[in-house]
Amino acid sequence: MKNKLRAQNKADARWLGDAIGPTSADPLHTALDALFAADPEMDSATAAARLVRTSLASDQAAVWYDQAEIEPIGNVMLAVTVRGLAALDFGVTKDIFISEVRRGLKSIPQHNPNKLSAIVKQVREYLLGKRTEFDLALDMRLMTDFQRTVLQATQTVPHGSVATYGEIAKRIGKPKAARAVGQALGRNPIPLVIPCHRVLASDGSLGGYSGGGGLATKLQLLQLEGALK
Amino acid sequence: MNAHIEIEQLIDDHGQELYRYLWRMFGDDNEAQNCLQDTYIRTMGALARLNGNANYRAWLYRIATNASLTHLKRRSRSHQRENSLHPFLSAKDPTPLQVVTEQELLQRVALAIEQLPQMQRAALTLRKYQELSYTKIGTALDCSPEAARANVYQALRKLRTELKDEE
Repeated sequence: MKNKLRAQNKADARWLGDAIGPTSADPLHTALDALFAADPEMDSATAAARLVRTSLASDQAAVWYDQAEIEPIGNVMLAVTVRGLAALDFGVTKDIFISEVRRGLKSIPQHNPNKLSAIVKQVREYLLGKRTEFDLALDMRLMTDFQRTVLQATQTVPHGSVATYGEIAKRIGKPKAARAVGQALGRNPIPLVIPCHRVLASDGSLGGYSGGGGLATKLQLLQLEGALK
Repeated sequence: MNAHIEIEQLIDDHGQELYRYLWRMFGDDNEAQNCLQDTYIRTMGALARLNGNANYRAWLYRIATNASLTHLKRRSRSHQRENSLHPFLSAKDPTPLQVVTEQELLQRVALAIEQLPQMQRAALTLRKYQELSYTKIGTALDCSPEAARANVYQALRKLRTELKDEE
């Protein structure tokens, strides 16, 4: 039995090109070759690559923005790309928002309410208390790698509950990085949608909030979600 | 650094090869095309990290593999390869029985491939049909070269077991 396995392994190695030697007929090898070795038409591979090239060229650079008045937080600025929502901010001027997005994504944002309308609708529903989860694609390029890890972990904190900076640090495997987690959350380019407001200081105090309105907004959001009585 | 030029060059240099890989993973033109598009969109997001890395080819395979796993998960389990059933015949003048037997074997192997763990399936495809080294496969699958090799052999062993079980 063992010998048979060893011989089989050797035959596999020769078939894979891992060992030199003559290959012998093996029904599995023959079947795999029949299934896989056939190449797709050269033309379709070329056409596929060309199609990708054209569609990326026209779309990849585009950034679209819009603003909306949404109670209770006021004027909300949003920017989206083909990948998804890249930035959301409130309590900033349009000019500052646009210049930050332009610098981060290296592309001039174009005003296009159509591209943002579905997102604005979800944000409105959320702030009215009619939505507990966002169903949106996100473009996370405005974050550093560390920030992305932190914010992805933050996305798992559900509506109506809270976590601490230390817990998020533990969750990403860096239990000592609570302070760095706090800083990463403070620079969240997509607040509300990535719920950095659900992360509090370890002593139960609110910690910080860099969004417009500061801690008052954080408190307001947590009350809206029913996380604070 | 101009990301636009980079991505175009990556498409020109590796687009066709990646398409063939994805085509093998899916056995379907449309899915391969969608997934190739997805691969390059993801690559744009990763370009900042990729730049300065000599091993673009292995990285692209990694992104393509990840994209294909997402697509495969989304695809219904009942989905079967479509390109898989053109005949292969080991005998020169096959009897009808031989033809039927070989068609059956092909179908069973195709089904067994669908049921392989994705890592094993990708590793086998990359080694045998994309002819990547184990080091490159390791980069593509985010594992060591040894683990890449192990995945290839496990795939073959698993396929053999599956086929035996049905006999």
